[in-house]
Amino acid sequence: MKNCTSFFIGVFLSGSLATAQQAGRLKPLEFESFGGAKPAANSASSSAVANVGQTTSRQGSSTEAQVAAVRALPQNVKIHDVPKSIKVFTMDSLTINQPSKKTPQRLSENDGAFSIKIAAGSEKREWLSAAYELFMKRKMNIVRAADSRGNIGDRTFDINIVYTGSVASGDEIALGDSDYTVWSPASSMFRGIVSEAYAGSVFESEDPLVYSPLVHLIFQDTIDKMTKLGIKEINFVTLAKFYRDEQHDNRSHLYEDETKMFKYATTSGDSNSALTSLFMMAYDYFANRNQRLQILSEGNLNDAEFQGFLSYLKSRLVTPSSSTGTLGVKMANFSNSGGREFEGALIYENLAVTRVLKQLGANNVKARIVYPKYSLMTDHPYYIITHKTTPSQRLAAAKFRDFLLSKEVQTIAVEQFGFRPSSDQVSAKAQTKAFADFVKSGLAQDLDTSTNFINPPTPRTIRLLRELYRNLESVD
Amino acid sequence: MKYSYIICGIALLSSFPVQQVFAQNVVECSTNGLGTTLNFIYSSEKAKWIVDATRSFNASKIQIGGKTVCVNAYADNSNSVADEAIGSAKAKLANSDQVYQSANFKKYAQVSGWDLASPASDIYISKANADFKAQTGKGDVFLNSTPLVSSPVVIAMWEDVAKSFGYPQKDITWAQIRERAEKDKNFRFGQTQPRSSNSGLSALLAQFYAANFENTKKNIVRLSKAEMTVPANQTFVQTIQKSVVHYGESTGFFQKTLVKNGPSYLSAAVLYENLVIEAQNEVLKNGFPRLLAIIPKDGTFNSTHPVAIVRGTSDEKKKAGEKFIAFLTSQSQQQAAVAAGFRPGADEDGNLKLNASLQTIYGKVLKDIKYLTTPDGETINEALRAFANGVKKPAHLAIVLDHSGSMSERGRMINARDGAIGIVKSLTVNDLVTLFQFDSRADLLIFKNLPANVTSGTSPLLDERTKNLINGVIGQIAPAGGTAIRDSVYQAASAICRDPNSANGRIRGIILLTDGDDTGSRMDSNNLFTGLASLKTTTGEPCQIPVFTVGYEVSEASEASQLLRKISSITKGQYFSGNQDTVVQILKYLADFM
Repeated sequence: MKNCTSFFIGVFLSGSLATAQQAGRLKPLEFESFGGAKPAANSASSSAVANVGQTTSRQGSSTEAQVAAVRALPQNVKIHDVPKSIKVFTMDSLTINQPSKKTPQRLSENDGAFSIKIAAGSEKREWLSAAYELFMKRKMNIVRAADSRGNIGDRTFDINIVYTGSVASGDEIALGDSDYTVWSPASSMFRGIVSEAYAGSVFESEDPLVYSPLVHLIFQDTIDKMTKLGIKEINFVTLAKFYRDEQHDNRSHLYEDETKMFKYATTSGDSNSALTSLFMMAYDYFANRNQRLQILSEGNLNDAEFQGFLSYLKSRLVTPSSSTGTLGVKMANFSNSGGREFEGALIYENLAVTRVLKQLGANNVKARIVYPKYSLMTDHPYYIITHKTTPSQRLAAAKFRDFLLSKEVQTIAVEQFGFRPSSDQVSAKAQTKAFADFVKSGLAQDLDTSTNFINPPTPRTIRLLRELYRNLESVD
Repeated sequence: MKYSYIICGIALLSSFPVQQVFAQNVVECSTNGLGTTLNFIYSSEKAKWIVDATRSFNASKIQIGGKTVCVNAYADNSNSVADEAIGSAKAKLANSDQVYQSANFKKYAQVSGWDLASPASDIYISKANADFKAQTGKGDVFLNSTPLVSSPVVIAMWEDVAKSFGYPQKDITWAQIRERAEKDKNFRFGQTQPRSSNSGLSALLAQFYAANFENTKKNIVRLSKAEMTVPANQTFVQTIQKSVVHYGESTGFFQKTLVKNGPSYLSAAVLYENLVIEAQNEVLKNGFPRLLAIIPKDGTFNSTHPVAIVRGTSDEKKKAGEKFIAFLTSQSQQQAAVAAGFRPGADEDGNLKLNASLQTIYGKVLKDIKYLTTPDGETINEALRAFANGVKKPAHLAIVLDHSGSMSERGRMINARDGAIGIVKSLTVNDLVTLFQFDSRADLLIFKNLPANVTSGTSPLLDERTKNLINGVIGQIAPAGGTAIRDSVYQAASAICRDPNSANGRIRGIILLTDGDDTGSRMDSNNLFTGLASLKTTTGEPCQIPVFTVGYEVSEASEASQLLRKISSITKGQYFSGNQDTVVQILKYLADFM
């Protein structure tokens, strides 16, 4: 098995995860551990039709048109109480906004100093801020570029980094009114949201900056107790089962105080982490049903039992913030708060390392990183946008990108902020050293052996899953 | 119990300094148009820390892009923090050039929009995001919140009261408090108004959690709308509410009044841990028993004071806001927060020492706090609906408005009418309201065109239609004639005491607003004070109604000011000095006591 660094170099050196997968350079996703069941998309779709058959004539009339009593958890998960009923949605009954196609408008050159604007996911705020300071301090903000008369000369530029949600910024750029030079969401999962809104190529280049997968981070004493209770794997199906068992027994399975129920946290809203967690729920669910999914499809979302599963989790998961950073702070700071607000959370690996494990360790408290079996890679792509940008802006954006990918700045990302590098200039030894203290807490040196990274769904499926989850009602 | 209790109405409020409500907790700065100015609205519980921290930040003259950043900071209750953020974001959404005018208070007239907001807890983040989405169809109004500091919501309880529950050997549950409220008429409870204040809303939600367990014997991870509509749950919470002496906008008000007046004021009140810490020395100095912080066995909410950029804030101000947030979460400012009684919101180095008072205020070693989960925004709104529709302790309020000729000056009558209309809107369906207008004589307003059940001047059912009708009458009050303060106060107090609908079991009070000296009363002051002290109900029981007096542009040295102070003092109400910028806010503040 290749080590993690070389794995990433092989896959991502010149393109996004999606591009790499499509090009066949990444091994196909496999669900070996769940056996060789048939692909799920069609069967899931027909299952949904069967469940909502009585009301199909009303399809499309409203988001609440289809109602059926369903079981809320997959049948092969041991459950005790079956929820009463939920509203089941067909995907064509959901309203999602898809901007009309437009041609990128390249702007002609202007004169003098100029600025570029970067929309970046807040997950990498600290690293980008540090890099920006260094870039400006060294006066690297100069490019040799033409002016409006075609004269070539040195031109200085400023960089305005706006930290914003990946979906929100994608929607903004897709509408065509924004003035971003660079879009750097948390994940290339969202690429299609923008690219599908343009008839021509809206990206001049696309490069992953750093990697940091979402991981389950759970207090060690909790995970020890869960293991004793027979939980062999942490995923959203086993978490749902754990919730269900406590609910059935009406007492805590973890605490002396029997009224204190198990809580697990994810983020809310439109953040990358919130949406990725929904996809993880989907992959965990269908994997548990022995269904081999290459890509989550619209048909899968129609599955009534799957919707019941999502509803159940929606009513049980706690979502105290839209920011994984806040979840991390709440975990790290629990002893100062006098108690835990939750026992575990889905947060980025780099935050788990730099914010949580470090502080907990200082207070002699242990927590454990558990890698999800299936996930989408958070690869922090850097897209240089052609729409409403000038050649000199794109040159400047490329210069800052190259700086971010330099050995020095990649090393800062690894050593100070806990990211995994996209550049092969950072040695495996340097990574091993940076992460060594956290291996005992479950940190994997080699992501290749810990998680199956899945092909991103289509933009329409992303929007539908987001809308479906918003509309689903909680169940008891 | 050796402490005496006040029998009816809102009591012992007169000594609370008026200025603390409105004038303090504001930091304003200026860069003469050359810098980046942020407008920051925050919940008042953390004012002591935020004021100093903001001044330090402004003094450091941090620059972004060559521009000095300065922060205007304004304190308010958590609900207003959320409402102001929503109002500001909606204005920016509608038209980026539009100047935002605060929907609530004229004191913020100079603010062109909010850039940063920090309510007391996640509850308001959840609620405001849900409300904003419902109103605009857009995403979150609060972008990426960060916890600043934390402080659990606690029940502040005198040590002897706590012992009577078996504490500290046994933890206290909300079910025990409900039982005490039901059986012990001397048990006096305090919590803030849930629609305005985080601690009151946290208490209400915690009581619903406890009610659900009591009625189903089932533990739940998170409350849903369904639990709010179960009659047995509502009855459980309603029983606790019956022991509430009064509500209020400010948790700090309860703390200060407990410190000042001790156990004769309340047996227990919902506060924050930091406020109990802050109160300790003063309580003992005043000769009262220890005031303990009790966390109910059922669990409590952690007020994590999230701070967030408000939607619609410009990129430049976002950057400045991030700098300010980084400053507030820096080790030195977190240390200052700990000294002020908070728990740190961030402690990256893991070396902050918690406030030493945490070892004593619980009366025992606190092992592990059980934190309740914040429900979703719709569930929170359902809890507030249940509260307004019957769970709340009902009130009977008399509004007594001066409509003398001088009220025509500088928009006084308009502001007085607006304030009174706001009060009526805020009352709930089981509350009673009695309206007086006075010039040279007091008139119980005859409501023309109103249903028969309100023509008596008191409305038995304050539904939306009745409120609209009453507010229509208020809207027609016009200035003319002299001023008869004394006669009006006496008539209003008599009317409440004699009203058979206003028996014990209601929060009762009078709000009187005037702009000048008494020129028309037949009663002199001595007769008034004697008369107020000897009022009785129709069943012959003593009846004292606290009178909240508002002097509208009344000078401190005037006879009117002295009279109003005296009236509020002897009735255990409170005097307020208002002007055109504050009078509506004062009336709203008073309405929250009901």
